Order: sequence, then structure tokens, then C-alpha cells
Amino acid sequence: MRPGYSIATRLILSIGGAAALIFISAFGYNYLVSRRTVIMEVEERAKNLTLSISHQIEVVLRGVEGVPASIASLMEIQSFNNEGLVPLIEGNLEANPEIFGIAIANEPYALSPELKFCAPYGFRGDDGIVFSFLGGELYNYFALDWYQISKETRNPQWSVPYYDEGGGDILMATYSVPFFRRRGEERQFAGVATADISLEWLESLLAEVRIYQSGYAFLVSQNGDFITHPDRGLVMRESLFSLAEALGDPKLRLVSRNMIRGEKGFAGLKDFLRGRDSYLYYAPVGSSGWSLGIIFPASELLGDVVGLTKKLLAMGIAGLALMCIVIVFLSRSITRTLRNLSAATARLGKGDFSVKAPESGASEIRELAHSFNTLGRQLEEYIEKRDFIRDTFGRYVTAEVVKRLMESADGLALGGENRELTILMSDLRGFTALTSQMEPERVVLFLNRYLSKMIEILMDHRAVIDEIIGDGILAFFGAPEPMEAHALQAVSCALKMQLAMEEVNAVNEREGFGHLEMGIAVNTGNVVVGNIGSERRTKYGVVGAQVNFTGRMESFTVGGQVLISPSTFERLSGLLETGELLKVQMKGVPAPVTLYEVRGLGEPYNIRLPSKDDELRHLSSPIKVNLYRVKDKMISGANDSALITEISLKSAILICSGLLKEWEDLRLDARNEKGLEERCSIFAKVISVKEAQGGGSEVAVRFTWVAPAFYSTIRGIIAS
Amino acid sequence: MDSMGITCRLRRWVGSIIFVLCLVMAVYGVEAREDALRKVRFLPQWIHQAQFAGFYAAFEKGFYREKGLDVEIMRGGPDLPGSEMLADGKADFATMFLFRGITVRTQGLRLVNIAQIVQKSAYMLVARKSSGISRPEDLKDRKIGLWGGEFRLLPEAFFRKYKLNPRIIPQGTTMNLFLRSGVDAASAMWYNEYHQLMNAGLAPEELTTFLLSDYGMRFPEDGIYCLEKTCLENPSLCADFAAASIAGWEYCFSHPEEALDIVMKYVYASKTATNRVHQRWMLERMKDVIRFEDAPPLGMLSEQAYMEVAAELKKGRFIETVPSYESFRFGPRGGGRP
Repeated sequence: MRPGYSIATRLILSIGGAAALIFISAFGYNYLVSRRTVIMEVEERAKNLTLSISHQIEVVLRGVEGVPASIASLMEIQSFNNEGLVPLIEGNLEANPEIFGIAIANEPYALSPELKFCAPYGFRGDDGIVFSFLGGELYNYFALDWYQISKETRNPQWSVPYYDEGGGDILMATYSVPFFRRRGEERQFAGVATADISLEWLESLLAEVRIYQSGYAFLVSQNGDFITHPDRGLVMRESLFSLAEALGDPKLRLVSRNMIRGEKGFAGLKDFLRGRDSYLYYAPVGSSGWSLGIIFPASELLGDVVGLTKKLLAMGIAGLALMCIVIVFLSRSITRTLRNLSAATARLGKGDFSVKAPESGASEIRELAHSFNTLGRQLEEYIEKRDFIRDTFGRYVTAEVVKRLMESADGLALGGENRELTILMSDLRGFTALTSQMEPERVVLFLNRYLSKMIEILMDHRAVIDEIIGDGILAFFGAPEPMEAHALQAVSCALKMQLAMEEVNAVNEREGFGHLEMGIAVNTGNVVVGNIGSERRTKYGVVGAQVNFTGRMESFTVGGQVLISPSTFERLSGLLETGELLKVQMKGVPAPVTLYEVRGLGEPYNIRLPSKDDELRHLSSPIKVNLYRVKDKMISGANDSALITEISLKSAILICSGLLKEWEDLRLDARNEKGLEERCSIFAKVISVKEAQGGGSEVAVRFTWVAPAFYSTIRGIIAS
Repeated sequence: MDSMGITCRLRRWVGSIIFVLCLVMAVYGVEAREDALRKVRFLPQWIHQAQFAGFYAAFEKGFYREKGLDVEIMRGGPDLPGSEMLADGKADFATMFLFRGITVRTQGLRLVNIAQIVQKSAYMLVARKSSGISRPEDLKDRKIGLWGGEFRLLPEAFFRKYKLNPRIIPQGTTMNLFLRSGVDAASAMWYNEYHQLMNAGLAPEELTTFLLSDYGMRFPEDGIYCLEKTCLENPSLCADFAAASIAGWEYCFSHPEEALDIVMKYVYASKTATNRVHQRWMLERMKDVIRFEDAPPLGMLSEQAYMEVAAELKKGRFIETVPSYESFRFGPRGGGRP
């Protein structure tokens, strides 16, 4: 049997698997949709927040940008000298408190041929506005960014934020506006007006930005350098690009490029600080060229989704577990009845047909149990019938044949095989004559007593009884199961049958039946054995010349004799104790055949027939008998008289006038003398015929049956 | 005039104090010499960065101390020119570009080169490919940012070679003008400004670079200088300082990560606005300009390279006479390329 999974396992695998699949699909879909929704919401929120902060910064920067722009316009239309610029600066500083310092830097010698550096600068000192004049060998402002970039690009510029010159930690930025003078056709660069502002407010504005638990805002310059970041270590040291290079993160580099190009966008990337998955929304800050970024960690952003997902997952797993438990219980309850049924089947298999399966549970199971119980009942009935058949049948055939017929698939097939067997044939001498004078019930009683004994012995020797015709038995040894020593078995069986006749005769005589003698012939040879008959009526039997030969051999036996054929003799020669040898001429056999009389089997069998207590007594007054010839069990009408001159319990010598042949069967009827009634008779076989001295024949006969009255007379004679 | 007077008086004061100190040291120094380390002040020509990694390593790994030197590594910068600091006795050793060293020498300050560190120039001109510049010839009539002083030596030699007459824009200390497209090309040191451009979002493939040493202008740069007087009075001090510094550089090349850690320690201590990625780049490029395929041994000033630079300086009218190699060089001398 192929090992398989239990019902519970199969149910869990199939139903559980399907349910898990559905659950995971639904779960995954839910997660993706929720995630997308949340990200979209957050993107919107981040976008609004970024734009709002960016706008706040821009408003301030715009306000500042206006001041140097208006100074620049003034510088283009009005001429000033170095000192004249001071009140202009002072006035603007006073009017614009958010501005830290204002410079008006001119090209070399622009205001005066003597002055290479002309750049008055006013700024808020501790005690009000302080002025200084920029420029000198150590401060060549013409090569400084705030001047040079506006000059070369001819456009206003916000500087890259820087820490103030004073060495403090105040973050500053400068807005530079170039101004020009007309020289003929050309609009010639003449200088730069600048406004410095502190970006402290910017830092605190961005520091206030909090998104979720650890989301934050940061600002980068035109170059990608960090202007503000919660990690002060990055500020003015690292740029987005140096981080991208350090982290080996090309995506960050790409996003950073977009940022410094003044684009706005939303991107998922690794947080620069902690390497967590994060989202970044970025937007440019007005005209400054700076870019504002807001970062929030994905874990927090998706915290609700992840939390919900975890709960769903837990519920799903719990549900699946519950389902598995239910399946286990359900399948247990189904399989319990099945297991009961299985146990019942096992008991049934061992032959306990009385077992009953409980008819409970699901309707299908109940039906199955019912069918099983019906099966058990039918089997029981069948076995009963079979046993009856076997027992009945066994009375007619041996157990081996029954076994073979019942157990072998082709046991009943018709056909035969050629096999060497030993055939045994027995017959009661004078039985027909005896029974002709008996009541039918007594015949059957008598016959059954004799046959039951003989059949018992035959069965013991595993003989197959081919046929019982009246008192005659045809049996064989060596089939259907092969038998090693079938000849020995047959002879041993024959001897035991002869010995049993003593017992049979004892009972028969007690009940007033006559004394019976049995002859047995045993022959070994090849015969055809098989199921002989038709589909409707069959017997397991033997046919062949050797069967007929055995029949003829049997006709030469006298009572109490076992004759074996030469072929049987050959097989048992060392074991046999033989008596007389008979050379007989058989019908259909050209040469005379020697038959051996077996008296016993030697060691180790030690079966012997009693020695022939057969000493003839000479009768001083011979017994007169009427002599009838018996031919084919029929008594011929010819009636001779004869004289018994010598007699024993088993044989006699007759003197008669008629011609008798050896092996002829005779009936001798007493002639109502010596107390013998008229119908008191002896059946006998002619053994030898001699010419009598006084004419006629002297015939030796052997009794095959003696009437009880006659028998007691003979005993009386012998006893005297 | 008034201030000049004060300076003179100050100098005299300082001079007498040093004199007294020298006397004190002469008296007590003899017996203290066995134990006391020789105090030395070293001035790199710029703020702390990987350009001077070898000197930091020599200090941190104890190479100076092994030579009996107690070195103070000063913070350099544009406001502290090495020539003045040496002349004023505020530093004993300083690094300078070779062209600077020659120029200063011809201007009258008797200083000598005791070791040549950087064996070829890291000077480059960078331009955006998008501005149509891919060959030297494309620089013709373009706006090019150049640093002042002797720094013009190299690019001008380059322009002469290719017969270019670009518009020179004085370049400050940042690359912002170039980044804002205020110039078409700008000056950059390969190990510094070039990478600043990377840190500002430009990619190497977007740029055309002209590394001038690739155009026949080898021009050794950083070398260690001191006054000739120092060498004459205390030749072993100079030799020891040079040897320990060279050992420091060797250590950097064999332990680049540790060297980078040492550099960052100096960078953080001086609150310099830079980052590790940038310093790593700088250290790697320093190796490229110190130890390239046919470079002279570390420390040696090639006479041929010296003569080339001096000739170029003369041609550019930065100097009038060329000091002899022998008088300029203290320590191991070399002919041409080894």
C-alpha cells in the first residue's frame, strides 16, 4: 500500500492552502492599495508643507532683494562719490531692519581715478550702524563671489550661504545686484549693490518642521551643500553629492541634481543619516537657487498601514489556525467511524464475522457501515453454507481434494494429468449373495458399518476414494497432492483395512450378520487423474488400463488377502513380508502375471496380518453340500452336490463330480444335516483343483463368506 | 609710517628676545640636549587637508619624535604666506610650490628646498563639455578663471604653447563663478577644486579637463623649504625633518585608511568645511602626483624639472636670474629623471 496523507492533512493542505492563498492575495492587495493611498496623501501633505515653507522663505528673501535692487537702479541713474554712498546705505539699513549689512562695491577707479577700491559697507554693530570701506591687498573684492558672479553673469544672485566673517556661527547670505553705466552704446558693468541677511530665522523656521516622529526639513545651496540640517555636522561640510558618493547611492545623486536645478519632486530614497527607507519631497526656494527638502521615514509614514497590516496578518493567521483546528476535529469525527470500520474489517479479515460496525456519523459513513455490516452478515451466511458444503462434500471426497477444489483457482477446471499412482481396490467376498437374503435397512446398516471403518482408514492414509459401488471401493494414492511413497501408503492402508475386518466381523457376528472376508488388490502404475464429468456433475477420479488391471487383480483375491502387482512389489520389495505367489492368467494380458500376497510390512511399520489359523481338519463324516457356480455374482442354475472332506475356518477341501476351474466362485449350501439348515450357505473361491482318488475332483476352496450358523458349526468341528 | 615704526621696534624686540632665548638655550641646552626634543614649527601652505597627510602621519606615528623632533604643525592659509613666516622666524619649515620657492629666493630671501614632495603639477583647467570645449584650441577667446601671482605660470605657458589668448578673469577661492557659468573654464587643483565640482553635482563625464602636467609641464609643486641659515647651522635638523616627513608620506601610501583618519582628525580640529569623501579623493590624487610611473624618489628635486620651472618663470618675467640648482637644493640631489 502506498503511504498517503491522512484526511486531516489533505483537508488542511487543500482547504487551508486555498484559504491562505485567498487571504494572502486579499491581504497583499489591501497592503498595496493602503500603502499607495498613504503615500499619495503624504506626498500631497509634504508638497503643501514644502511649498508653504518655501513660500515663507521666499517672502522674506523678496523683501530683501528689493533693497539692493533699488540701490542698483539709483546707481545707474545718479552719480555718487565714495562718501555720498554712506547716507544711502544708512537710510536703507534703517528702513529695513531685517538686513544686516549693505555694500555698494564699484569697479576699480569707477568713482575716482585715485581709488582702485571703492566699496562702502554699512552693517549693524553692537552700538548701531558701523561703516567700513572694503578693499585692499588682502581683500581684493573684485575676485570674490558676491561681486564677481553678478559681474560675470550680469544678473542678481543670492550667494551660497556662509558663516559670518566675525567667526561667529551666524549663517549669512548675500544678495548681489549688478549695476551698469552707459558708455556710448555699451551698457558697461559698474559695480554691485549687496544686502547681507542673517539666516538664523531660516534655521529656526526649518528646525520647527516636524513630520511624524522623526521627519525633518533641510536646505541645500546652489551647490548642494547643506545650509541647514538637524545634524549640524553636515552643515557647510557635506553636500548631497559628497553623501551620495560616500554612500555609493546613484539615486541620491540623481535626486540631488534635480534639487540644485530648481526642480520639485517626490522620491523614495535612503535617509542620509540613518540609512532608513525614506521619502523626500523637494522644491526650490524662490530665486535663491537653494532647495528645500523634507524627509520622512517610510516606517513612520507607513506606520499605520504596517500596523493595520500586522493586525490583519495576525487575524488571518489566527483564522487559519482556527480553521485548521476545526478541520482536524471534523476529520477526526469522520475518520473515527472510518477507523472503527477499519478495525472491524481487520477483525473480519481474521475471521470474526460476528463483528459489527457502529452505524453512526455522517450519512455516507452510516451507509458504509451498514454495507459493511450487511457484508459481514452475508459472509457469515456464506461461510456457514460453505462449511456445510465442505462437510457434506468431504464425506464423498478426501479433504485434500476438497481443499484443492476450494482453494485452487483452477481446482474445478475439467481436465486431467498423467501421473503415477497406486490404486487400491477392495471387495467383500460373497456380499451380494449375503445381501440378497437381507432386509434393505439391514443391508444399509451392515454396509455403512463396514464402509465407515474402511473410509476412515483410507482417509487416514490420504487416499482419494474414487468410487464406492456397493461393497466395492476404488481408491488411489498420490493425487491430487503429490505423495512420496504412495505405494507404501496403499499397502499399509490395505493391511490395516484387513486388520480392521476382525473388528467389523466381531460386531457383525454379534448382531447376527454373517462372517465377511474382504479381498484387496494394490497396483502401481500410470493413470490419468482429474476432474471427470461435466459442468453439472464431476468427480475427481482415475481412468486407464491400470485401473482395469487392478480390478482384475482384485478378482483373484480371497478373503483376508492383500494382493499386489509386480510394479508395487518392486517399489516395496525390501519392506514386504510376502506369502504365496500367484501366477495368474488375466484376460487381455498375454503373459501370466505374478501377484504377490502381502502378509505384512517390516520395520519400521510392523504391520502384520495374523498368521493363517487355517489348519484343515479332516472330517470323519464329510458334510454334504449343494454346489452352485457363481458367475459375475449370479448363481448359475446348474446344481451339483459335493462333499466337504476337510475344513477350517477359512477354507475347505471338496470332492465333487463336476468339473471346476481354479478361481471359480462357488456357493455351498448345507443339506440339512448335522444341524445345518437348508439355506445355510458358504461362499468360496476355488483355489486348486486335483483329480480325486475316487474319481471326480478334489477341489480346494477358500471361504469368502460363511453363514453364521455354518460358522458356528465349523467352530464346533474344529473345537472338537 | 607710524605703523612701520612700531613693526620695526617690534621686530627688534622679538629679535632680542630670541637672542636671549638662544643664549639661555645655549647655556642649558647642552646638558638638556640628550633628553629634550628639538622644537620645530612647521607651516603647511594651506589649511589642514589631505594635501599634507604625510606630515600629520609623521607626527601621529611618532616619526618626528623618533628623530628627536618636537614638531608643531601650524595651520596655514592665504593670510599666512610661508615665505614671510620663514623670513620672520615664525616658522622653521614651510611647504611651497616650487615656482613660489624659486620666486621668493630670487626676491632676496635665502631659502632652500630640503625635500621635494609633489613631483608633478596637479593644476588643471576645467570646462563644461556643454560649452563646446574639448581640445586646448577650444579655449581660444573664452573667459577663463585664473588664480593670481605665480599660479599664472602654468596656464600661461599652456596658452603660449597652444597660441591662445583667452580672457583672463581673476579667480577667487571658490568654484562658484564657474558653477554659475560666470566663466567658460576655471583653474582647479586636481586633488581639490576638481572634486569640489563633483561635490557640487557635476559629473566627470560632463567636464573637459586639461591636466597641465599631461601637456609637457611637469612643474613639481609642494616642497619643504627653510632658510638657508637653518641648514647651515643645523644640517641634521633639516635632514631629520625631511626624512621623517618622507617616512610619513610612505606611511600614508601603505595605510591609506588610517592616513585618512589622521587627516580627518586635523580637519575636524580646525573646523574646516570639508568632508571625508573629499579628503579621500585628495589623498588618492596626492599619491598620483607624488608616486607616478616615472617619478623621482620621494624627496628628491629633479634638476631638470627645477630648470624647466625656473626657465618658465624667467620667460614669464616672474624672475630675472635663475638661482643655481646646487644653491637652491639642500640634501639629496638628482640630475634628470632617475
